[in-house]
Amino acid sequence: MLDDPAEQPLPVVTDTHLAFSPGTRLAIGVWACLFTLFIVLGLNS
Amino acid sequence: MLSYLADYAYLWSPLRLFQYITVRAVGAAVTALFIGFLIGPWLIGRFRALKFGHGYIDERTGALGATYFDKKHTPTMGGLIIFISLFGSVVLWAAPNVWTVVALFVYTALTVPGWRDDYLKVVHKNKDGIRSWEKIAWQSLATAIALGILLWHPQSQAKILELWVPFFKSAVIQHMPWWLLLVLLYLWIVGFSNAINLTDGLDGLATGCTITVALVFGIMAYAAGNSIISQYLLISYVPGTGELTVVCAALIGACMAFLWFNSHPAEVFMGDTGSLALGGLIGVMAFMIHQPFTLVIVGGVFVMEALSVILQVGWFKWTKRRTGTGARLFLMAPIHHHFQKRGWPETKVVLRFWILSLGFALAGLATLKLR
Repeated sequence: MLDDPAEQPLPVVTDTHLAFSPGTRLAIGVWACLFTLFIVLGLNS
Repeated sequence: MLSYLADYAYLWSPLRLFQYITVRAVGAAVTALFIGFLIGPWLIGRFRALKFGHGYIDERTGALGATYFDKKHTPTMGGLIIFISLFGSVVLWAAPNVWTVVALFVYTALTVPGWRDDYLKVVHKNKDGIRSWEKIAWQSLATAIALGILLWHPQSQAKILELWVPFFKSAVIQHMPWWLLLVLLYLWIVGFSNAINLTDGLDGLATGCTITVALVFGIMAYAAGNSIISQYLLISYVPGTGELTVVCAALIGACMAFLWFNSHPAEVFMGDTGSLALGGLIGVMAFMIHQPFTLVIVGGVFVMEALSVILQVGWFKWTKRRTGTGARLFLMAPIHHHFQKRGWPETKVVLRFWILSLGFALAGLATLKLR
């Protein structure tokens, strides 16, 4: 029933990729380096 | 990694505080909370902009989920908020050792299939998500690698093979075969992943129950990593596992931040991204602090939810084979929907399950002394 809000047509997905800003990419890069360091230090402890 | 600052206490004496697990645990909880509050609104905004909602009514709940408001377009993948908060905080505050590395590894390794599952559901509108064999393969691989690291590392290789059960003063098996540990670890990781996944059906339910489990495990990890307390309580002493207190504190902080947004009416759901990984994390931590069976008590709500589904399906199939008509034990499974069907408002079900979870947590803590 189209009267039911739950049955309304779905919105069209126009963008399916997360576009990260340069700042976010830098943050992810720094985090990845830190995690690698964490693993190396942890397994050598 | 801030623990290394304690090495420079001779330069500035307050740096010695970083050697204390309790101080770092508080720091981890606050940091995770802060990160969660910071990134939460931004990520939810991104998910909304990308239409990262399920876009369909869950088949299990039918119109029930949409009784009070439209859950159909509430974005999912909120587990990423917990993941980023927890991870950032743990890397910062926990001292790196084999226990913390394995905990973070399992958490990451199970976030990936959970995220992929959600991604397929919300972006490709594929209701089934990833294939069962793919999910099982990820879980098996994560378990095998985690066990491999624990058996390889000198700090953990002997300790991890001990099997402890509640109410006993010593290990019931001192040196269990590695294959038995593999089976048990796999059952716990997969079992609790799926149990949390099933519990994650009402706003704030799984998150609140995870907080109580993390609180108890934080205390237990601290006791297991402390030679004096563990000797006094007659529990297993596992050197280095005290650092898992920091992981648990970060988990509490991350879940609290997520709960802020996930409380009824939810602005975001954790999705499989959160539930699979959280189950894996608490499952593997239970083995590392030698409290695997205590998890069954502490995580009683998760066990109850999973059992309700198993019983419902089992009873339905059995009665159908015997009589030709399938009968149901509950109005709906998992059990939280049974109470919704009986007319309890969603918030009442959640609050009462939290109360149950606190009761299970206290019962779990009592096992520390009853030996």
